[in-house]
Amino acid sequence: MLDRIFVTFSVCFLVLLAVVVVFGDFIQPHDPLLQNFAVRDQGPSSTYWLGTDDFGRDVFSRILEGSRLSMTVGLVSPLIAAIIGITMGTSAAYFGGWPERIVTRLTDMMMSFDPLLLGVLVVALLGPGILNLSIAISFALIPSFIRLSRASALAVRQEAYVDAAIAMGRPSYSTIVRHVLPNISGPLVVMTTLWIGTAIRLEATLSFIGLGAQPPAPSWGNIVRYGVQNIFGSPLPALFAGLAITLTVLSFNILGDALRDRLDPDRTVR
Amino acid sequence: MSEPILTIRDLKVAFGPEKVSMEALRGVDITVRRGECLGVVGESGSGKSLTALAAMRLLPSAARITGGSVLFKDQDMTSLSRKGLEQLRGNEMSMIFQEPMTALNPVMRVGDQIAAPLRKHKGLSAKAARARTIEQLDSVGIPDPHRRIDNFPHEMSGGMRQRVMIAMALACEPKLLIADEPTTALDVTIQAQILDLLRAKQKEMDLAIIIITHDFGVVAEIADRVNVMYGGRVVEEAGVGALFDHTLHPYSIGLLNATPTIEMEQQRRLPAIGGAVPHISEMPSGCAFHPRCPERRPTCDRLVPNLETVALDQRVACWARSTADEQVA
Repeated sequence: MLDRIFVTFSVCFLVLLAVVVVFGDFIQPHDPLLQNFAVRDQGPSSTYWLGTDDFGRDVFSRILEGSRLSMTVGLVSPLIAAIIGITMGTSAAYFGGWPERIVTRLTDMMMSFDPLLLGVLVVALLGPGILNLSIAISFALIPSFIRLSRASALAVRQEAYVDAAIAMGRPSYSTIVRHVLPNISGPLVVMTTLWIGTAIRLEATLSFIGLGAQPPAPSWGNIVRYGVQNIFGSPLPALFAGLAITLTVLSFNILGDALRDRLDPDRTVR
Repeated sequence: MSEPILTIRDLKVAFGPEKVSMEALRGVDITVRRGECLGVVGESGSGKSLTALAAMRLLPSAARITGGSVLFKDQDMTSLSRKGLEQLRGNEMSMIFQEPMTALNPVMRVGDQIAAPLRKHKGLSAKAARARTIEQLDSVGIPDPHRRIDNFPHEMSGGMRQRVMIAMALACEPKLLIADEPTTALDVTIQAQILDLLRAKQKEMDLAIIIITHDFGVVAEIADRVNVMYGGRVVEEAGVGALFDHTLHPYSIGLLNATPTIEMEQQRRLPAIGGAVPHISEMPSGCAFHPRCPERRPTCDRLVPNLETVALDQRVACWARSTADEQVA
């Protein structure tokens, strides 16, 4: 029962977040970039719901604006990683031979790095910025997609219906798309959802250490970063941006767990 | 006699890398003629399924063809390109499998699975393929095909799924159907129905069938000719009548004796062939059956016997049945 409530809250929160991301321009009460030194470091008020930062910018508007960047990176990076990783993983499992060995070894190599470290490495190579950040996060998530899709596809590859499809003259790519992918989609959907949470966290972390979104553009990560630098002026920006990150990641994780329970065929329906 | 449709000559298949490879098929000769049903019999591990997979070029990646040829009409399957194979499979030759439970994709409607080869090979539109699929389901005896076409496999019984498999395999009117133990996973009454269906299709479409089984009942029911396999070779080849009335190879005799019959005494133990099928890594020298053979001779562990014609429709590979003198051999 408690599970249900959590899931409901998470879904509601994520829907709300989607509205904020899409219609942000109409919802933000103030211009998130407008500086006003007359109202520096203020607490919450009817004008500034979550107070202002040390440039006198509205924290609420900045968090809403920051959600766009964080969510874009958080959604796009895992999706790119999923497309590349699943393509490589299923093809490797299906065709086997030396391409599979190369892909598996590369994956093992990449898995030995922490995603954060890989992200830092890529940004260090390409330079900071939103596009490079997305590339870095995608790159960091690809190996786990390869690994999961390859393992699942290997199991499905053994199924008689795959042989039957080949025996009916179906070409390889079509066998993968119509017979292999639909049968491994469950765990992959769950993993994508869980990695969205991780991607948001990674974006925040990399922005926090200055490798992500560059000021003045707000993202949750750099709101926390500059908020912490000015924590004695006003703790509110760092606090609320941190809260936004926490709630979003938590919601995606709860959603992922719920999906896993739903899609797991071994679990009896309650 | 009609012309051969599939000729397997001296087919060799090995597992593992070149240097340590183990031969699982050691020179298989099988011929199937247009419109005839050939039974391939043998214990597990005799190489009968592997022969079928090799003929369709569906071998697992660990196995490879190391010699011989598989001629379908006049095309050599062993050297055909992937494109060529895709053109042939499901169109001119197709295959049904042992487990109707797993041979259909669980997340795809059965109609779509039957329509797929029709659309690929016959270039039918989605609509035409659907109409053809309904006819096809009807022709394999599935009641209410208009409704059943949109079923998922789990909504059907085992017998029905095997009918769907047959409908799919025969959708493009192939000339050859390879059936790998098509009735093993089904209960006896359904077995008989599926065999009846296969036989009806054979007559109706002038279809050649290779039926792989370890059940002599199935062979007696449906086959015109029989190949008995042991240790990766064909040891006896005979018309179905000759095989039952005039069994020659000691292995075939052993297999037939080990088949339970309805007339046998209840308390009597079923005779068995002593020993077990040799693993491919320790294949005996000479005739592979000699360690288990009750009629073993001195030659048997030294030389491999070849198939010799002993009667009009019977060939056997056994030194104890050889007309050639042992000294000559």
